[in-house]
Amino acid sequence: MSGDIKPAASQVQYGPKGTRGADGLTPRQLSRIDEALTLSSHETGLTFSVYIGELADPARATAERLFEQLVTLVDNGVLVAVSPAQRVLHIVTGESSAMRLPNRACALAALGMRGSFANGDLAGGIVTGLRMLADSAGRP
Amino acid sequence: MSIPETVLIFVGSPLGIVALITAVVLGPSELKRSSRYRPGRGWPHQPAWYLPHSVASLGHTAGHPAIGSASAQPARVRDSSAVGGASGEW
Repeated sequence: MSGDIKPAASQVQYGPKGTRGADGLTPRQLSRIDEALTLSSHETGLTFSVYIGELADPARATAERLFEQLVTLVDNGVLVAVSPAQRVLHIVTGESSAMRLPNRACALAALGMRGSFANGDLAGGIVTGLRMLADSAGRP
Repeated sequence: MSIPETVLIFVGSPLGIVALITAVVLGPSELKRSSRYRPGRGWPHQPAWYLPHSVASLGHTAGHPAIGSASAQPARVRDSSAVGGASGEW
Protein backbone atom coordinates (compact mmCIF):
# COMPACT_ATOMS: atom_id res chain seq x y z
CA MET A 1 0.00 0.00 0.00
CA SER A 2 2.52 2.53 1.13
CA GLY A 3 5.63 0.59 0.34
CA ASP A 4 6.32 2.46 -2.87
CA ILE A 5 6.93 5.78 -1.22
CA LYS A 6 10.50 6.89 -1.44
CA PRO A 7 11.19 8.12 2.09
CA ALA A 8 10.52 5.12 4.28
CA ALA A 9 9.27 5.58 7.80
CA SER A 10 12.72 4.69 9.04
CA GLN A 11 14.04 7.88 7.45
CA VAL A 12 11.98 10.11 9.69
CA GLN A 13 14.28 12.21 11.79
CA TYR A 14 13.50 13.38 15.24
CA GLY A 15 14.04 17.07 14.74
CA PRO A 16 16.38 18.66 12.26
CA LYS A 17 19.97 18.53 13.34
CA GLY A 18 20.93 22.14 13.66
CA THR A 19 24.57 21.46 13.00
CA ARG A 20 24.11 19.58 9.79
CA GLY A 21 22.94 22.32 7.52
CA ALA A 22 22.02 19.81 4.87
CA ASP A 23 18.87 19.38 2.79
CA GLY A 24 19.29 22.81 1.24
CA LEU A 25 18.70 24.70 4.46
CA THR A 26 21.21 26.49 6.61
CA PRO A 27 21.82 25.34 10.19
CA ARG A 28 20.09 28.47 11.40
CA GLN A 29 16.99 27.77 9.32
CA LEU A 30 16.93 24.16 10.47
CA SER A 31 17.08 25.18 14.10
CA ARG A 32 14.22 27.63 13.56
CA ILE A 33 12.12 24.84 12.06
CA ASP A 34 13.13 22.55 14.89
CA GLU A 35 12.08 25.09 17.48
CA ALA A 36 8.76 25.78 15.79
CA LEU A 37 8.04 22.05 15.47
CA THR A 38 8.82 21.32 19.09
CA LEU A 39 7.01 24.36 20.48
CA SER A 40 3.86 23.93 18.44
CA SER A 41 3.69 20.23 19.24
CA HIS A 42 4.17 20.88 22.96
CA GLU A 43 1.60 23.64 23.01
CA THR A 44 -1.13 21.75 21.24
CA GLY A 45 -0.56 18.11 22.08
CA LEU A 46 -0.66 17.36 18.37
CA THR A 47 2.40 15.96 16.69
CA PHE A 48 3.40 18.16 13.81
CA SER A 49 5.65 16.75 11.17
CA VAL A 50 7.38 18.55 8.33
CA TYR A 51 8.29 16.89 5.06
CA ILE A 52 10.39 18.82 2.55
CA GLY A 53 10.95 17.15 -0.77
CA GLU A 54 9.40 15.81 -3.89
CA LEU A 55 5.82 14.57 -3.81
CA ALA A 56 5.23 12.11 -6.62
CA ASP A 57 2.19 12.77 -8.75
CA PRO A 58 -0.58 12.93 -7.66
CA ALA A 59 0.89 15.02 -4.90
CA ARG A 60 -2.12 14.94 -2.61
CA ALA A 61 -2.29 11.15 -2.65
CA THR A 62 1.43 10.93 -1.94
CA ALA A 63 1.07 13.30 0.98
CA GLU A 64 -1.79 11.24 2.35
CA ARG A 65 0.27 8.07 2.08
CA LEU A 66 3.11 9.80 3.93
CA PHE A 67 0.56 10.70 6.57
CA GLU A 68 -0.48 7.06 6.85
CA GLN A 69 3.15 6.25 7.55
CA LEU A 70 3.31 9.04 10.09
CA VAL A 71 0.35 7.83 12.12
CA THR A 72 1.97 4.46 12.55
CA LEU A 73 4.68 6.27 14.51
CA VAL A 74 2.83 8.98 16.42
CA ASP A 75 -0.60 9.91 17.70
CA ASN A 76 -2.52 13.04 16.75
CA GLY A 77 -0.34 13.54 13.72
CA VAL A 78 -0.45 16.53 11.41
CA LEU A 79 1.68 16.44 8.29
CA VAL A 80 2.95 19.57 6.58
CA ALA A 81 4.38 18.46 3.25
CA VAL A 82 6.21 20.98 1.10
CA SER A 83 7.60 20.33 -2.35
CA PRO A 84 9.75 23.32 -3.33
CA ALA A 85 10.40 21.97 -6.82
CA GLN A 86 6.74 21.44 -7.68
CA ARG A 87 5.71 24.53 -5.72
CA VAL A 88 2.96 22.74 -3.86
CA LEU A 89 2.22 22.29 -0.20
CA HIS A 90 -0.19 19.93 1.50
CA ILE A 91 -1.38 19.91 5.07
CA VAL A 92 -2.88 16.57 6.08
CA THR A 93 -4.87 15.91 9.23
CA GLY A 94 -6.28 12.67 10.59
CA GLU A 95 -9.42 11.88 12.51
CA SER A 96 -8.18 13.09 15.86
CA SER A 97 -6.27 16.13 14.61
CA ALA A 98 -9.06 17.25 12.25
CA MET A 99 -11.28 17.87 15.25
CA ARG A 100 -8.77 20.44 16.48
CA LEU A 101 -7.76 21.71 13.06
CA PRO A 102 -10.71 22.15 10.74
CA ASN A 103 -9.97 22.44 7.04
CA ARG A 104 -10.58 26.17 7.20
CA ALA A 105 -7.76 26.63 9.71
CA CYS A 106 -5.46 24.52 7.54
CA ALA A 107 -6.36 26.59 4.49
CA LEU A 108 -5.51 29.77 6.37
CA ALA A 109 -2.12 28.36 7.38
CA ALA A 110 -1.50 27.22 3.81
CA LEU A 111 -2.25 30.73 2.61
CA GLY A 112 0.27 32.20 5.04
CA MET A 113 2.90 29.68 3.98
CA ARG A 114 2.33 30.36 0.29
CA GLY A 115 3.15 34.02 0.81
CA SER A 116 6.58 33.23 2.25
CA PHE A 117 7.33 30.47 -0.23
CA ALA A 118 6.57 32.70 -3.18
CA ASN A 119 9.23 35.06 -1.84
CA GLY A 120 11.73 32.23 -1.62
CA ASP A 121 11.60 32.05 2.17
CA LEU A 122 11.24 28.32 2.70
CA ALA A 123 12.08 28.14 6.40
CA GLY A 124 10.07 31.24 7.22
CA GLY A 125 7.01 29.82 5.50
CA ILE A 126 7.25 26.55 7.39
CA VAL A 127 7.66 28.36 10.71
CA THR A 128 4.72 30.62 9.90
CA GLY A 129 2.53 27.69 8.97
CA LEU A 130 3.38 25.77 12.13
CA ARG A 131 2.65 28.80 14.28
CA MET A 132 -0.68 29.43 12.59
CA LEU A 133 -1.68 25.80 12.93
CA ALA A 134 -0.68 25.79 16.59
CA ASP A 135 -2.65 28.97 17.22
CA SER A 136 -5.72 27.51 15.55
CA ALA A 137 -5.51 24.25 17.44
CA GLY A 138 -5.09 25.91 20.82
CA ARG A 139 -4.25 24.02 23.96
CA PRO A 140 -5.42 20.47 24.51
CA MET B 1 61.05 51.40 -20.33
CA SER B 2 60.00 49.28 -23.24
CA ILE B 3 56.47 49.33 -24.67
CA PRO B 4 55.41 45.95 -23.19
CA GLU B 5 56.52 47.08 -19.74
CA THR B 6 54.59 50.33 -20.07
CA VAL B 7 51.44 48.52 -21.12
CA LEU B 8 51.83 46.05 -18.26
CA ILE B 9 52.16 48.76 -15.65
CA PHE B 10 49.59 51.29 -16.86
CA VAL B 11 46.92 48.85 -18.15
CA GLY B 12 47.59 45.60 -16.39
CA SER B 13 47.79 46.80 -12.82
CA PRO B 14 44.60 48.96 -12.89
CA LEU B 15 42.72 46.02 -14.40
CA GLY B 16 44.11 43.76 -11.72
CA ILE B 17 43.01 46.11 -8.96
CA VAL B 18 39.52 46.44 -10.43
CA ALA B 19 39.20 42.66 -10.69
CA LEU B 20 40.33 42.24 -7.09
CA ILE B 21 37.83 44.78 -5.75
CA THR B 22 35.01 43.23 -7.79
CA ALA B 23 35.80 39.80 -6.42
CA VAL B 24 35.90 41.06 -2.84
CA VAL B 25 32.59 42.92 -3.19
CA LEU B 26 30.55 40.38 -5.14
CA GLY B 27 32.18 37.12 -4.06
CA PRO B 28 30.56 36.50 -0.68
CA SER B 29 27.01 37.17 -1.84
CA GLU B 30 27.45 34.97 -4.90
CA LEU B 31 28.62 32.12 -2.72
CA LYS B 32 25.74 32.58 -0.32
CA ARG B 33 23.13 32.85 -3.04
CA SER B 34 23.93 29.52 -4.62
CA SER B 35 22.16 27.46 -1.95
CA ARG B 36 19.13 29.68 -1.53
CA TYR B 37 15.72 28.52 -2.65
CA ARG B 38 14.26 30.35 -5.61
CA PRO B 39 10.74 29.57 -6.77
CA GLY B 40 10.91 27.92 -10.16
CA ARG B 41 14.56 26.87 -9.87
CA GLY B 42 13.92 23.38 -8.61
CA TRP B 43 15.11 21.74 -5.43
CA PRO B 44 18.11 19.47 -5.94
CA HIS B 45 18.19 18.14 -2.39
CA GLN B 46 17.24 14.89 -0.74
CA PRO B 47 13.79 14.70 0.82
CA ALA B 48 13.79 15.38 4.53
CA TRP B 49 11.18 14.49 7.07
CA TYR B 50 11.16 15.93 10.52
CA LEU B 51 9.33 15.15 13.73
CA PRO B 52 9.53 17.15 16.94
CA HIS B 53 12.41 16.07 19.15
CA SER B 54 10.63 14.81 22.21
CA VAL B 55 7.91 13.02 20.33
CA ALA B 56 7.96 10.20 22.84
CA SER B 57 6.86 12.55 25.59
CA LEU B 58 4.05 14.09 23.58
CA GLY B 59 0.55 12.98 22.85
CA HIS B 60 -1.14 10.35 24.92
CA THR B 61 1.74 9.62 27.23
CA ALA B 62 1.24 13.10 28.65
CA GLY B 63 -1.80 11.84 30.54
CA HIS B 64 -1.38 12.37 34.25
CA PRO B 65 -2.12 9.57 36.66
CA ALA B 66 -5.46 10.99 37.71
CA ILE B 67 -7.94 9.96 40.35
CA GLY B 68 -9.70 7.59 38.03
CA SER B 69 -7.95 4.52 36.82
CA ALA B 70 -7.20 3.68 33.22
CA SER B 71 -10.84 2.87 32.62
CA ALA B 72 -11.75 6.51 33.19
CA GLN B 73 -9.62 7.61 30.30
CA PRO B 74 -11.13 7.73 26.84
CA ALA B 75 -10.27 4.88 24.61
CA ARG B 76 -7.21 5.57 22.59
CA VAL B 77 -8.01 5.92 18.94
CA ARG B 78 -5.30 5.66 16.37
CA ASP B 79 -5.70 7.44 13.10
CA SER B 80 -5.37 5.25 10.11
CA SER B 81 -5.96 7.55 7.20
CA ALA B 82 -6.10 11.20 6.25
CA VAL B 83 -9.43 12.92 6.64
CA GLY B 84 -8.75 16.59 6.08
CA GLY B 85 -6.26 19.33 5.52
CA ALA B 86 -5.51 21.90 2.88
CA SER B 87 -3.39 22.42 -0.19
CA GLY B 88 -1.69 25.34 -1.81
CA GLU B 89 0.44 26.30 -4.75
CA TRP B 90 2.75 29.22 -5.29
